Amino acid sequence: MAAGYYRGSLRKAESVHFGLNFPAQEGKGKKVVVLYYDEQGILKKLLQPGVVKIGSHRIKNVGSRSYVVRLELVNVPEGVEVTWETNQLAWDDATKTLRRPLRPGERFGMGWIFHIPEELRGKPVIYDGGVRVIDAETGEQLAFLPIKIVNRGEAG
Amino acid sequence: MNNRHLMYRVLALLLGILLFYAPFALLVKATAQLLESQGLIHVVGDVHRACLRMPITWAVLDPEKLVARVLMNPLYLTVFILAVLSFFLAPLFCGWLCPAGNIPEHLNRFVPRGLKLNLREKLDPAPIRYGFLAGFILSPKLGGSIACSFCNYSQLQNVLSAIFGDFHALAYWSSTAIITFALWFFVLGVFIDGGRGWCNFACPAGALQNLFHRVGAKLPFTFKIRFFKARCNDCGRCVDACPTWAIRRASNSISVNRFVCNACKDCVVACPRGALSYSRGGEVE
Repeated sequence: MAAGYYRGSLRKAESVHFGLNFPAQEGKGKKVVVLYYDEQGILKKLLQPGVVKIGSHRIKNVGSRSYVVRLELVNVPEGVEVTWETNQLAWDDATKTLRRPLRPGERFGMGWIFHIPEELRGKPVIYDGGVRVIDAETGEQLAFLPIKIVNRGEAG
Repeated sequence: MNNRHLMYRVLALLLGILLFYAPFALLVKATAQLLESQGLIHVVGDVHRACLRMPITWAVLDPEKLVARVLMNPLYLTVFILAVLSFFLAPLFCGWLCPAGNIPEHLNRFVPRGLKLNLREKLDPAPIRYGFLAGFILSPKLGGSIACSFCNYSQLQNVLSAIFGDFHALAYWSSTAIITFALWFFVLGVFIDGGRGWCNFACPAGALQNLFHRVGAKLPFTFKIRFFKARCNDCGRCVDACPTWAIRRASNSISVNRFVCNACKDCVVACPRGALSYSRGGEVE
């Protein structure tokens, strides 16, 4: 139980997970994913403070047709390195595209590991951007989810 | 310890890596290939595809989810297949194949005795083990799921991936991952007597298998570590040899705790008088 509570206490501090449906439905999916950088656990702060993870096990096609999906992480500040992480065999990291069509109801997972340089770690807002889901065949935006990495103590 | 026996155990451990862990993951990849032809699996084959942890919580808390996931990936049944096998054959997977349990145990042999935490005589691991199992199952409802965040299989997969060239696997460490690695590999692994502390206290898959073994061992047609009382001279070598602290002295005799015995057969090999065997029949003769 204690392990569960400890893990729960770090849920928004070291690794934040979200679900994202596409095509975006009117009135839905407007929430913002926020990671509170300054609330990391003590071990993380000591051993690997500059690396946090944001990801989704469920980027899901809720539409009625298949899509070839491209992802875009927008507004990444200069100096922040982002590693893309997925278990999808058909993922093309060069074009950030899932090469196989995602059928209606199908989903896939993606994670972004942010390597934050020391000079940015103390800023009130470290990252203010988001992930864009794009139809790779037409270029049309299918969904957008805002993502923020902030220091809660300073951002209030 | 008998060198041949040790060699067989190390070979079994390597087979476990080949079957379950990337970059090999032969069992996982073979199943994935079968399913991919039916458009079901499109993901990289590694130990996560045959997760031994999440299906236990699903089975109790959300059986519908278990069914849905198994239909997409039958490897989620692995932990239950192992449990049924344990009923008939004892938890051979834990004692022989499981790399996450065997690697710390074998490395533990190189650590001087004085550096190891010795709780063998002081602690019965079974109550802690099953208390943990209960907490593990209930944690998603009462605090937060610990299936993934405190997963030692995951840590081993990351290390093996890095050893075989994918350093990216070690790029991100959460606090829970750091704690898991430190406890599983060091505190409850190479620096505890026997090297099986994590298995004894914090492995839900092992606990489930031993539950089935505990019941199966009562039946004469199942395989188990059996004790032949008349041959025992109470030398205690089996007690010292047991990595899971399953064997204890009990008034001019010994007892085998089925809740933690993983049928590694170290005790069988250690006994100079053949008082223990892995075979079918009664628990004690």
